[in-house]
Amino acid sequence: MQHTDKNYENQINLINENLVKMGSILEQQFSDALKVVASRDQNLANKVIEKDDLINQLNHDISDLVFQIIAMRQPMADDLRFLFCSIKIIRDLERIGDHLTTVAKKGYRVSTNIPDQLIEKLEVLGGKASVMTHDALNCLFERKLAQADQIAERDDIIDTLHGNFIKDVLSYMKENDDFIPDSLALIQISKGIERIGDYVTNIMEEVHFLIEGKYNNS
Amino acid sequence: MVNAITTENVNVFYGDKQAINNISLNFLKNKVTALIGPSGCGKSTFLRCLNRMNDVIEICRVEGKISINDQDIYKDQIEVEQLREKVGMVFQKPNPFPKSIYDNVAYGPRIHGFTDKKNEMDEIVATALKKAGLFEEVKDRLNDLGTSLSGGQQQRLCIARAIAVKPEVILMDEPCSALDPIATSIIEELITELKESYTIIIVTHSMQQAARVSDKTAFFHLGNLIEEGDTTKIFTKPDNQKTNDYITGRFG
Amino acid sequence: MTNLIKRKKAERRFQLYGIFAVSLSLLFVLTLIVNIFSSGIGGFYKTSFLMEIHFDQKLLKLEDNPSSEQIEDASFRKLISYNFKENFSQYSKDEIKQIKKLFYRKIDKETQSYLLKNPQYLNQKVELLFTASTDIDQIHKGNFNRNIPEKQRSINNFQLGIYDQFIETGKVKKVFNKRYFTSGDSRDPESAGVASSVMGSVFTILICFLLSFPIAIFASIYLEEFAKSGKVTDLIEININNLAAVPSIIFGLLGLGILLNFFGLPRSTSLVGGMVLSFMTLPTIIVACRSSLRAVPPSIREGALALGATKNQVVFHHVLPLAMPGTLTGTIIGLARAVGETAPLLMIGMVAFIMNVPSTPLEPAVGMPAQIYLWSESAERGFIEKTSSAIILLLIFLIVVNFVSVYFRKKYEKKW
Repeated sequence: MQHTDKNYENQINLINENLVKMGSILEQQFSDALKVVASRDQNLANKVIEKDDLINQLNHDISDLVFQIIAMRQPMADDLRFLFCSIKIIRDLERIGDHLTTVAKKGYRVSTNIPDQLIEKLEVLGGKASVMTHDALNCLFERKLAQADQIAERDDIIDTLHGNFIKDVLSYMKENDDFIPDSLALIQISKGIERIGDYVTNIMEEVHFLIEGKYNNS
Repeated sequence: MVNAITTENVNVFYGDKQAINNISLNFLKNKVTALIGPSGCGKSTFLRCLNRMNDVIEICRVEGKISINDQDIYKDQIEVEQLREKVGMVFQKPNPFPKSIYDNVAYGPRIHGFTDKKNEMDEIVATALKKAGLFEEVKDRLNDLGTSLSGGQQQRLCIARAIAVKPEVILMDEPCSALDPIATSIIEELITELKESYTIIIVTHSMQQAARVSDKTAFFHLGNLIEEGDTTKIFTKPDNQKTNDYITGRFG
Repeated sequence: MTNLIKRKKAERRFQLYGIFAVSLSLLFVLTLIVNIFSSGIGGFYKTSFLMEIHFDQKLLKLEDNPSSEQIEDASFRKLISYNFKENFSQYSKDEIKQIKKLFYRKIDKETQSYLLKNPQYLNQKVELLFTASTDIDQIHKGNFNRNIPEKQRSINNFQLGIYDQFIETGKVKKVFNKRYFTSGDSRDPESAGVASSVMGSVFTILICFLLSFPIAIFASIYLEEFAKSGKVTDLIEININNLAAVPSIIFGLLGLGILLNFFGLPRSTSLVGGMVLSFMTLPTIIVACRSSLRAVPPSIREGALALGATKNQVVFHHVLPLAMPGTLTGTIIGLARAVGETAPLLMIGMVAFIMNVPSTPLEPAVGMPAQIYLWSESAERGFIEKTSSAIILLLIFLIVVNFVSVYFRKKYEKKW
């Protein structure tokens, strides 16, 4: 049901639209960043880095809107929960954007001499995280409680993959002294992706609160 | 948690039209319960059942059981005047009598024969005015007309008038709708103080007010009780979609 | 734009109509007041002559130090004749007779009352004031033109000459007519007064008030606060409203038929008059009282009810006091109308010639409007003035009553 006050309805919708926009930019950034890791394409990397400004801008726009609505409209119940969650979710989204920038920055500098095996593992990890982010954003816009909890659980897989990848990189570093800086970059990329997984988990907790009015304590 | 008022299957009819559909709602002692809902949802009608103010309306018929201290107030054992001594009421528009401030407060105790002595009556009036937070403002002009006070003061005078009869329950029918924000805050603060000694049931159109002052909130719609529960719950995560839509301003 | 000019013009035109209407009605009122006052104000004064009287004990056949009863029994005719002969010794007997006609016919009674008040006058010569006859009174006040032919007037040239002589010697005085306020009706304009009719009106209104006010208030309260709305109440309400529109003479007939013929109450008394007028005033007061009761905001009733007051307490502690100013205004207006009412009183015989001032409502009386009507019918010129004077009194009474009602309304009006 729509709000009786059309302006209010429009304001709430605008926040939602901006969230969607933020999400779609992030997804684009994610796939671009992963491409950068695979192709070492500097132009693409710069594109990813530039888009971060857009994410920051949207973050501020949404904050302002939420702030205004709270001051002027005294929102209640689901509106209140949505605004409250939005303010927390955009913070997480903005951080995800930051990590993707790191992935892109480090990604195009990684030497092409690094074995494809490692890069492929990183791509698998990135792919999982990317799908998880995609699902999480869908879940946010569709408000599906069961999905939210299930997506959060997927973070464990990412953590495991990240752990394995670190071990692999470490063993590679021991044998190839010349590629220590590149290996460290790989670790940073993997760490960034792992952090994204954590943020997505946070977002899912917020979605749980948005739907249920309380956090999932299990 | 003790119930001050319990109601079971209350139905109210105005002639052929049913205004309240089978409502059962209990009111906790020394708590503030807010009744919210869109205009014509029956919240005022329900409130007025609790001190039988609906009796004045000839075509109004009340069915069901409403008990205060396990006494059915619609049974003949209790006179309506006795009931109203126990259940006071404050109205939407401040309605002090066009008499002195003193007489306004002393009127209730006088008709119920609390005391004949002048000094005892002075004491009752002063206590009631103090409880209503009005004593300091009016102590030097108790003989002025009650109607000469400002709107907020008039409403507090009405509260003092209700308190003076030593009720257990105070019903408030949109007590701040005619007041400015400052006067409203004063009354709201007063309500919070008063719940130490009285059970308060307040009908309000202001969701924010209900959220600010009440412990329990009940949402009425088209004569039905849609949802009741802790105020924090109702205003953050109501169970019922209708409640949610109403308090977020989607209808009503 | 042109439209606006047109509208503004229409507004100005309407204002002009309004001013015209107000001026016209003011003019009517002014004409009435000027007319009544100019012809009536003289009625409060009378022309008197100064004349020396020798209270000769022998002529009065009185002993030394006579008692009041003895003076009352004494005849003053001879004394008057003697004094006229003494004072106008140069005139013939016939001329003296004509001079005597310049004085009020009952000059002997006037002389007697002087002596009653001042027994020490006995055997003394005192200069006293005596009422002039109504004809000379009218000439003196200028209400009568002395230049018309002698045959057409009741005062002949000789009498006019004497009158002029009196004026020259300063023996004509214009004095306040106290008797107008103290005596009842009379065949002579010189001694006719409004006292009996004023008292009649006062008693009538008092009875009317005592009957109609409480009855109206109880009826209104019952109908407004207690009666269940239904067909019967509606019927009563319609009838009360209709009653207010019934021509007043019908109430007179009602009084005649029921009070006089059926219950056999005494005719022409203020008691019956008051009862008849209260029939007439009742609906007015009930309508005023009910609308005042209805004007009391329901919030006041609710406030009192919510404190546990009974319905009776609500009505008598809160509603009625607030409705009182309106009710009183209605009552006073109703009574003011009743004071001016003549028709119903005609039917119950309150148009009699009443000489005695009534002291109880059970004595025959006449009301002021009826008195005015009676006097206006009289032939003597002097009564024209009396009529106007009585109208002035009635108007003053009504104005006072209206001011009192405004005063009460302002004093007891409360804001809520």
